[in-house]
Amino acid sequence: MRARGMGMRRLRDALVGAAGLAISALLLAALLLVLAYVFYGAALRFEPEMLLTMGNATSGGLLNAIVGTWLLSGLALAISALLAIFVAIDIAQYAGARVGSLLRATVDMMAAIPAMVYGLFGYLVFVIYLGMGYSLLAGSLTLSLMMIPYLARSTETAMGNVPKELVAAAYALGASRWQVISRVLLRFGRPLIISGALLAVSIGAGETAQLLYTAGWNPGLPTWFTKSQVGYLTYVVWAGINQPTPYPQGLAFVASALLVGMIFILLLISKWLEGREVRRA
Amino acid sequence: MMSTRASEAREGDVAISMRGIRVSAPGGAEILRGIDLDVYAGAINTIVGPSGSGKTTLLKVMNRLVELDGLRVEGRVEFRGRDLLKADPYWVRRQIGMVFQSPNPFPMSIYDNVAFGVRLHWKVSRGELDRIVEWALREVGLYEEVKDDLRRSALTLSGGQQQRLCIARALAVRPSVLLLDEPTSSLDPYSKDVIEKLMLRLKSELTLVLVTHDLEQALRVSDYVAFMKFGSIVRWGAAEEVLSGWRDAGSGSHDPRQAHNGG
Repeated sequence: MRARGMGMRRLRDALVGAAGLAISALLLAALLLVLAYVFYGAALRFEPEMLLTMGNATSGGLLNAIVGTWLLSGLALAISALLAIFVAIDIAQYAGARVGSLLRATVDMMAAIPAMVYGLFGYLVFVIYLGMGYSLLAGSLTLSLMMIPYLARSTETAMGNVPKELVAAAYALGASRWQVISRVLLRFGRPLIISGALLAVSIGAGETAQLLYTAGWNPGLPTWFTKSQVGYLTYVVWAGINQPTPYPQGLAFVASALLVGMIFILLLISKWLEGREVRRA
Repeated sequence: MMSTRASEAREGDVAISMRGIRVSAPGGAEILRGIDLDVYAGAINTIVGPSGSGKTTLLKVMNRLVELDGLRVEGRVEFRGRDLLKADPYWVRRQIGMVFQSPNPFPMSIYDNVAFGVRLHWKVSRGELDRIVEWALREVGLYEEVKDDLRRSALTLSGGQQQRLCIARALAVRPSVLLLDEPTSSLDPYSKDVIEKLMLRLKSELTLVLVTHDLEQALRVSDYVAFMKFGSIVRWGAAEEVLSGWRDAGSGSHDPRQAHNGG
């Protein structure tokens, strides 16, 4: 009886283990397939001037879109990092339990809003109402709306991961609340905060929907933060892939490969930082 | 700049005087049930007792760290002519340093660890900071062991060295009282011995309050001992008297209020 029970359990364990393994293998295969498709397609169609010249998404090069993507996600990171750190500090330190959980719920709900809705909001508020026009600033602000909740969460987690003993040690030395935040929580949580920021940038760089409504498109480079449209890589993918001719499709493939490559590098750096954090603790 | 050593309290004077200290958790559970205790200057004042008796909580009342745990404190703690419980907690913690149960150096260099507290409170020149760091490390007998590379991560030190580093870090802001919460409980016998000798040396310069559950240690280092149980002090007095009779005090049917001054 007992032996058979053990046998059943072992069988079940084996089945669950095998299923898990199979699903992991399936996911990995899907990932590899996408990567292979994108990079193989890009390699077949790649021409050096695609990286060196500017273009119109369906003709010319990608330089304007590459620069535009970095400008948009970089500026969005700057804006959202500033705000998110304050939100996180508030949640973690200052706010009382009730205010803290309200803030946390708000942040979670912000993260759940679809990108297209942010795009609509950005269009109405930044582009039209505030008169920024399709522009770098309108696009970055809209992206940052989506990045803030993500960054706030990761910053809060990073601060929460700083060992309590270190916080106690700082307080015991007479540190004020703000000193504990700036010299202990933000400082020793830094690797995780930066890794969260890199992930947020990679999410921002991969967005299209909000930018269609807020950044527009520019075959050249934007000349100012407002009222000057800006191009970006995801637009090229979106515009090029359903063109009937091979060159725009090639641009779409190369733009995809550049995006995936960029995001992969950011992911690797952020994983490396997380590893460093763990080793140090 | 650095205040000079706060030594207006001489040996035998009362450095901290606690009266009617009650601490309760938000739910209402009482952790300390009316503590009266004097801490003597220039001496090792030891609090012993079984775990859960409130020793650490009492220690944390003295530097107001107890508030960070969300506990409510009532009573009066006289320190330097004022009620410590009503004073600025940051001021209190600069005067009354603390060393924790397990060494908790910051994940930064040896130098930056010792300098941490100094940098919180004062703007000092590089040379001055160098001197303070060296002084504090010498105080705990660590300087000779680490002087070749003060930029080394503190986490590369042994447990015993880390604990001495934490003592140096506390001393660097020149407190007049140092609270030690079971400072040797996570250390090997050799390191324990080194830290006990260090405590005996330090008491000529400042007031020490030691929490320990190691009665042998209490006997070796203490000048005064308070024996706690269930959030009350059941015995309190000169070390030999309290410790020779501690078994009686622990035997239960004792009224703590009476035993109070009997030690």
